[in-house]
Amino acid sequence: MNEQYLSVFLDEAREYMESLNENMLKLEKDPEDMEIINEIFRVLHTLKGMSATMGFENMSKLCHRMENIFDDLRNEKMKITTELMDTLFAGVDAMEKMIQMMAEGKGDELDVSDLLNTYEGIIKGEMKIEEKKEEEKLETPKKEGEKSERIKEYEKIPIEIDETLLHTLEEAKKKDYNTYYVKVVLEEGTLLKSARMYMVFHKIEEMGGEVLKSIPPVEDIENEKFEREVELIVVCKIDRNKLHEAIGNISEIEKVIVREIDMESARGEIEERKVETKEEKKTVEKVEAKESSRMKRITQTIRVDIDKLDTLMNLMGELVIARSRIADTLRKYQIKEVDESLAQLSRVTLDLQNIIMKIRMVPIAFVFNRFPRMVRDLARRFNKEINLVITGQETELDRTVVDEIGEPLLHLLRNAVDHGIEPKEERIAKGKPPVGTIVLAARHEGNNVIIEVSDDGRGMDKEKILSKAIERGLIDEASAQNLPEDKIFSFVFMPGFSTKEDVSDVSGRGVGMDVVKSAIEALNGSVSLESKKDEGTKVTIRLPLTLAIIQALLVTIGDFVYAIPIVNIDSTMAASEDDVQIVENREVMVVRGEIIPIVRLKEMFGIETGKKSRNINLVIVKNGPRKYGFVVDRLLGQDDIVIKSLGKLLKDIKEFSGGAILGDGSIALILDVSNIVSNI
Amino acid sequence: MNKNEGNTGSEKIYEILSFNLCGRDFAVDVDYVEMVIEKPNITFVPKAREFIKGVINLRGRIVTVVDLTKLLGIEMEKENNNFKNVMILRVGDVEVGFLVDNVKEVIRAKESDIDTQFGSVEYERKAKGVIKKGDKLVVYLDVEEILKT
Amino acid sequence: MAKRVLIVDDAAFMRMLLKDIITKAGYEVVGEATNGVEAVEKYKELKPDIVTMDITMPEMNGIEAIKKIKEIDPNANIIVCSAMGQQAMVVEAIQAGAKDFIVKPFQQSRVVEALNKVSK
Repeated sequence: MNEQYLSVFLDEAREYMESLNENMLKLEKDPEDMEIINEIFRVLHTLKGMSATMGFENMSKLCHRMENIFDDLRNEKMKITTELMDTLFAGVDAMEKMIQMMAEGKGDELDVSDLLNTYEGIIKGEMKIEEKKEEEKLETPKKEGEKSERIKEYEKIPIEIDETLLHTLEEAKKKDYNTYYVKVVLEEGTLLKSARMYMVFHKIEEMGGEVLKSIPPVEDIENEKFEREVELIVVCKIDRNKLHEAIGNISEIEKVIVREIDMESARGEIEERKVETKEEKKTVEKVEAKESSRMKRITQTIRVDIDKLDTLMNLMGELVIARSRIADTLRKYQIKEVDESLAQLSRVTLDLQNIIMKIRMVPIAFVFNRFPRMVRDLARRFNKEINLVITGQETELDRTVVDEIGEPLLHLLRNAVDHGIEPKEERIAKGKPPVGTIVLAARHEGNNVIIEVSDDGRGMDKEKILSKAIERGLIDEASAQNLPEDKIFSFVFMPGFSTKEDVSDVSGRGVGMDVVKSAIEALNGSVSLESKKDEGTKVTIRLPLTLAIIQALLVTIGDFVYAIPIVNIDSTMAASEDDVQIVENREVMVVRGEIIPIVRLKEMFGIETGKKSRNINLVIVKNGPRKYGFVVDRLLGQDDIVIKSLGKLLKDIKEFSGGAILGDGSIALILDVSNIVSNI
Repeated sequence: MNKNEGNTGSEKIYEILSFNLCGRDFAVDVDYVEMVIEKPNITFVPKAREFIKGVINLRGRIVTVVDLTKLLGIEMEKENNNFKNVMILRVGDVEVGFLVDNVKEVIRAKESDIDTQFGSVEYERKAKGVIKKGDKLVVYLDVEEILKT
Repeated sequence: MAKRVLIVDDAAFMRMLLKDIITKAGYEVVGEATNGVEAVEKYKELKPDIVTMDITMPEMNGIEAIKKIKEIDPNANIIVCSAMGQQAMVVEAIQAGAKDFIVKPFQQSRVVEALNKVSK
């Protein structure tokens, strides 16, 4: 099929899926809202039409059945219940999965017959939700015996088997190999997923088996590009139970499904698909004219693999450092022509860098979008009523940061659901609104992005944290007496610190908070927590807007080089001590009609002043609307620097935001302008 | 908290690395020591607490260097800037350098070899005790406690 | 009889933490080693049922140590202790013969699961 049509279709289908998800969540909160029901109906209808045009019959059928339900809903033939919502959500999930499969070029061959039957039943008025399918439950090896009859039965295999693969399978069968479809699901929260999955592959190989196909492909598994599930086609000599047991014995595996592959039906499916493809081709031709207008829009953007952008970014970093090194070396010779080309090179590098940074900026909605659904499911699981409020999802930040922030946020939200928000009865008893609220908010603040996760739940017990900290020897009783609140809460981020006696399976508050912290610190960010008993908990994450390369002016003060971020600088100027005036006991200077306070960094830093010169170099910095004149010894010039943390022992120093390693290997401390001027 | 267990018999054996600082012998748990390097250029950090000598570039990482004489309150006739080496330690996620004259040897000490009375007086909580090594006394430092200051 | 465990980690704190968890889970910690070389020696000497092996250590790293131990005893039960982001190392360790891995910061339940599974 023409891939371009598919990509347009997928783009649009994904948009509709987003709207569908969003509206379903709204509907659950407000089941009477006809407008929402109508909107969902409309979206389903459009999706049905689109899918049919593309030849995705399964998808189209699913949309159709769901559409019928919504038709009944809007004609008030039916009422919304939580159970109904659950099955409808299952439908949305199935559609999402199909779209994913389509994107991978695997069509929409997902077995949704059960769902379709359920919907049919609902429409016919049998509002009875079937039990989950048996194989969806955890299949433990022990139960395998009882199911021996099922084993003989061949179940339908969700993986598409193509002709070459089938041929290999048939050959294997001839040589007395068994052929299996294996589905492995990792436990939620599994760390180092790809290594864990590697153990599955390793185990299979160890037992003389071979993996012929995997979904997602092996490269994606290696790069952790999968959620929790991997599907495999395996040939081996051992029997099904043994294979099941061996894989099931690997740690952190939630579920293993092993099915025998039925060659005949696989052969049949291939034939069927051949016919379908021919029909699809016909329909595609029909839509061609209709789609051509939209094609124009699509050609203006292209999708780029994030890995390529990362590589580009890394190369950029190396370019910046290499340029600094060249500039350093050449400075000795003072060749004019070289200076000019170097300046040119600097400009180009800078532009390039800015563009790359911009390309990499994405709205945080990318991560936030998956949370409403997750919070809903978790809330259901814990039998709690929770309203998730999201603000600032349009806030943009670097793609890498967006990618990395998902897990920590997930963790915080889980904590909020599991331990923060109380059960309804408890809330009512406390005189709180029965429905708990979790707020997920993002906003820009200067060069930072602030993300807050707050809940109005039971909060954390300061005393409990403190006594735990004392018990753990993190602090002695005497100094615990007057410990400020933020210090107390910071214990929560210590490895292995938990105030929860019995840790639930979803999250123990405290368990993993250290992981949250280190994940955020790895992004050069910081995290803090405040909490009031019975009022709630707020976790504040502060992240840099972009990655850690900034432009800075290098200056010397005393014997050492310091860096002042360009964003803070208004201008530089040479002046004389005679221009300094005293106003209200403070040194100031009039610069272009403005009275600017003078900051003598040398004195502030306690550096011995040698001989005093009448001439002074000023760097005019700005902090908000205010300007200040920093007195420095020499201006060395502008450079791109990579910000590095100074480490825990220097955390108390507010004057520097970090350090940078210069071309010659020496360290320049980076001035934190807003903190320096805050006391002036 | 107990560290450095090498359970041979009933008594614990502590493995500690001794070093020389202004003519006195000190020691830390060998486990904490990552490496010993020749003293590189140290960048002064204004406003830092007195015992912090500055920061160094350790293979691209910025590591804080501590002057133990200041931290432990060792009195000296004149300021000593001639330390030859920096001993790099890692405690949890904190990497830190101690200025030292010479790193000497690994001492294996039994629990009973450590006199916990003496050291804790002079160095408050920063020392776990004193070990007698020949005719010399080695002060066994509590690194975790030191890094809390 | 309780299964006997050898803990290998260069950080005393980590060893302490692990020892705590392992002992509580009903296993017996028979020895500790602070680097790969020591680990191999202690393995020969103590013949433990299970080894927990840190990856990054001075002298000889965990992966080398696993290879050496496997040469001595191909049936050795080794659990790798890894930090976040050491995916490739973990894979290498499994290739070298480790039977499971746990990720720092340790979660008690995971450590116990790993112990129980490899000692089966």
